Amino acid sequence: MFKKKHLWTIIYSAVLLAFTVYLLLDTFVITRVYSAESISGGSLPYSFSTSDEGHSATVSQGVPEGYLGSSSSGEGTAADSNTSAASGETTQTENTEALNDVMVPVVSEDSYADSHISVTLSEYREYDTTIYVADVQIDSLESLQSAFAQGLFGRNITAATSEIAEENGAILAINGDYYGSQEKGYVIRNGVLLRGTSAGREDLVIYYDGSFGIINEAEISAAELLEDGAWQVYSFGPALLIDGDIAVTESEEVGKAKASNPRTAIAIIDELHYLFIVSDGRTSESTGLSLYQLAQFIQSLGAESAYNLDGGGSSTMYFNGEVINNPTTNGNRVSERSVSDIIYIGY
Amino acid sequence: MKQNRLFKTALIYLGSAAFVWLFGTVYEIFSHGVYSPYMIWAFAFPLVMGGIPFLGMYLSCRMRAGNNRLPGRSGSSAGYLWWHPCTPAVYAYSSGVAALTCGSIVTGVLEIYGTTNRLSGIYWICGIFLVCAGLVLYGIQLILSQLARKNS
Repeated sequence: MFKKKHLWTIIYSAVLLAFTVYLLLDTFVITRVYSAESISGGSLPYSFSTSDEGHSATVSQGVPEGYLGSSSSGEGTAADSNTSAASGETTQTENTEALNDVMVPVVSEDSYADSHISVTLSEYREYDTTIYVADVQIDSLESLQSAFAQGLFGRNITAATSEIAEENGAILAINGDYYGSQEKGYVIRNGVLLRGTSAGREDLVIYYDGSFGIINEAEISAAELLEDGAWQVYSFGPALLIDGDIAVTESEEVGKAKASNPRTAIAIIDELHYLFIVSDGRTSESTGLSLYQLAQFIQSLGAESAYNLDGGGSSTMYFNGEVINNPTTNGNRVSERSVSDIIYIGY
Repeated sequence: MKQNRLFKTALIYLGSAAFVWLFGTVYEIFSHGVYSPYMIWAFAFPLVMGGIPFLGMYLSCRMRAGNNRLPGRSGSSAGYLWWHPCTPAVYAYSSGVAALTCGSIVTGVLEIYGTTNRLSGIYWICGIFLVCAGLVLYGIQLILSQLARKNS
């Protein structure tokens, strides 16, 4: 009698529990390697190397010829942009050789300078929080790259920011938008369309001429962005500054970022002149920033546009082989969280 | 369903609601200021859809019958009224409420973490389906009971 009476309860509970466990494993543990979405026109016109398993590995299109800067020291600007970004004409080899022709870099604890890249690190103390700002000036957009954990595009494929940065020879790196935790949202990296499923979010577009654009996924497709010359697209948000004005409210209701937390952001000052910003948080030394405080701070640095990236335990800045900030998930222990992607400055 | 079974079912629902509320509260405390309405309000499913209706049915039954057996009924069937839901209806309905509660908690976990999973929609589909199935079975039971009463 007992068995018959409770049989349905036992079976149903077991099924519900098993499904829940599988869902949580699928969300946080089970790795899935995705294939890049091909754009119209058939075969991918990129340097698209694949692993032995036939999955995507590191990918890069290379900045088309018309958008590459001069290789001369200190005067690098984007060339005339008459060439269409979607033309597929690349001179990656030639320009890589030019970029390789660099002067011996001058490196110190808080700066790096060679003929193509200049990075200056500064530390600020605002809102009871330590904020690290890397002032970046480059003469070619090819120096601003994205990289994936383990060189693979997929879900639950993660690695520490410092590990990814080291593998890619980064001079400076910050964590990206953690695309791997989402099932939707545009992913365009190094000129390659990897995911074009809209999540309706506000994205940051870095175009081939080095300029920033803020778009809404509901208003433009990923393929159109690619045709418009998108080099990198990040889907996290929100936008912090647009044309110098703060774009968030003091009570910004973003589901994942309401309170004071560690933050990561990227901003543009002017042509090929960027700021990489990371703040500490969740500790007694640094409480963290709200989105509005972050926007106010970046505005005070003179940025034109700024965009919020994945924060919290993911916030990490890597410079010259070291993690600069104090990444923490729960505030008790300083340790890097594994992330799915980074933005870096390097060759 | 007997009167004491109604009370037991109501207690289980109320206990579940209390547990889910406690779980949600503790989870939110450790979520670094990120809140999810699914996590905060998950306890509402067992409370509103189970605890309150079944407690109401039990209290209604007690008010009608008092503390004594119902007149004209034998002691072995005391506390049973024709409008008490039958076991299959309760099982289906409770399964649906469990799925909805589970789905709300899981969606809250995902939202607080900042991620999504297409599979989480299955909770809502199954939950709504089972709740509706339970209500349909209860409706059929009521109709049949009414017909039986009219014929007797």
